[in-house]
Amino acid sequence: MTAIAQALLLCLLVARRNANIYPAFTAYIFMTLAQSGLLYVAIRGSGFSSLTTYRIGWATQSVVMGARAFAVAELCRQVLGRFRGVWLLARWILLICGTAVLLYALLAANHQLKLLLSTAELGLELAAAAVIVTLLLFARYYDIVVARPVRLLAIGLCLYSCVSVLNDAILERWVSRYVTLWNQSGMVAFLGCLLLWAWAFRHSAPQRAAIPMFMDGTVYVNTIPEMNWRLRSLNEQLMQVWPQGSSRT
Amino acid sequence: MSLFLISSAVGILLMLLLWALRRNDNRAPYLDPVEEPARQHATYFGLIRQAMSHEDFEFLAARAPVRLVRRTHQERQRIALLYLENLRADFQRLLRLASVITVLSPEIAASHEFGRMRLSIRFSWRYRIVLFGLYAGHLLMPQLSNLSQIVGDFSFRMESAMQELGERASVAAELASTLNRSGLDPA
Repeated sequence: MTAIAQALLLCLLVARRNANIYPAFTAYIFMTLAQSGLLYVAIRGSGFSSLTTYRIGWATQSVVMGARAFAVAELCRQVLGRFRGVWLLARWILLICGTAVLLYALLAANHQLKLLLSTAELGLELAAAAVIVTLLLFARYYDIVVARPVRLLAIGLCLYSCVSVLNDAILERWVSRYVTLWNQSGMVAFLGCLLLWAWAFRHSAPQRAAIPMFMDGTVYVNTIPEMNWRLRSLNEQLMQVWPQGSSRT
Repeated sequence: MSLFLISSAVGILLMLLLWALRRNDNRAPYLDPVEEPARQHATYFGLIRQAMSHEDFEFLAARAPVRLVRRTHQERQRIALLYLENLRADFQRLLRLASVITVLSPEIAASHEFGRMRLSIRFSWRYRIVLFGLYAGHLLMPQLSNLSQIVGDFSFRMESAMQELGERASVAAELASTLNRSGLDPA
């Protein structure tokens, strides 16, 4: 069923010409479909619990994770890339945020050798979710309109990352009892996201939004420091309001 | 412990996601035209000050019945709260204009941006404290006067910047229309 949804989404992306606009995301979906195919062949050939299937599973998963990282980067560029100044600032913050969360996740995780790969996946997924949330916060802070398909794409990627993180964290604790449920819950979450993305990309992508007409750089340089100074003054005034000169009437 | 830490991080991320996706009804999209002048409310301060005159209140308190004095106090407090709320709205409108300038700037400075973010958080926090003060029965006229002055000056500066932006947009539109007429449109 997941494979059908993957194929459907891939067809939608290509037929509606969304693949040109979201090449990294299309590549990611293609790789997940290829992974499903490879795993199917491996399971048919060697069985579900064999070492070959295990190796193929994690090898393809690392490739898929890489593609997923590119899809998240593409998403960031879709949202903020048009705004040169904000993008220059945001990409460093997103990168730092992602790295910090990755380190946090790797430090917080239980370190067992047999769960090395799932721990790495947990870290990467948590970092991806943090980057997407930071991106949406950026867009909100600067009143940047996020197109509906991009919004749904972001929601899907973020929710799937969160589910994967929780799934991996639970797996670390109850390895033997949880492994079947781990597979199933991961698949259900992924299926949900595939349906969400298929809904998002059911129409052709709108024409690429025009690049905004930028102001002269001097406007920012002259206006913003002055503005920040005014804000600071206002804050100082507010500080004085409460403790001083308050006359009870 | 690990599960707890990871689940907490996911919980925080999900809450932030919901907050980021929440509809922002009181904000205009970044490409909206320049809004009405933001110093509107600040200019009413003269009237507000007159209405809040301490002398008038003392005069009333000495002569009028207690019930009327109490009602007057409540009305004055209500007006002060309303005014403070409007000042905050002005402040936020100005912040929004600043966002427009930032978004349409080819280069921005991280220090200014973080500074502004920090200031707006601080403002929001202090505003609540002042609001609490007003609810507690304080009338803070000298301070409100200063707030009005600052918001008024600030908005003037912003208006100039936005006017420049509008002029640039009209020049670009004219240029595009000239190009259309001269070269691209065969008719």
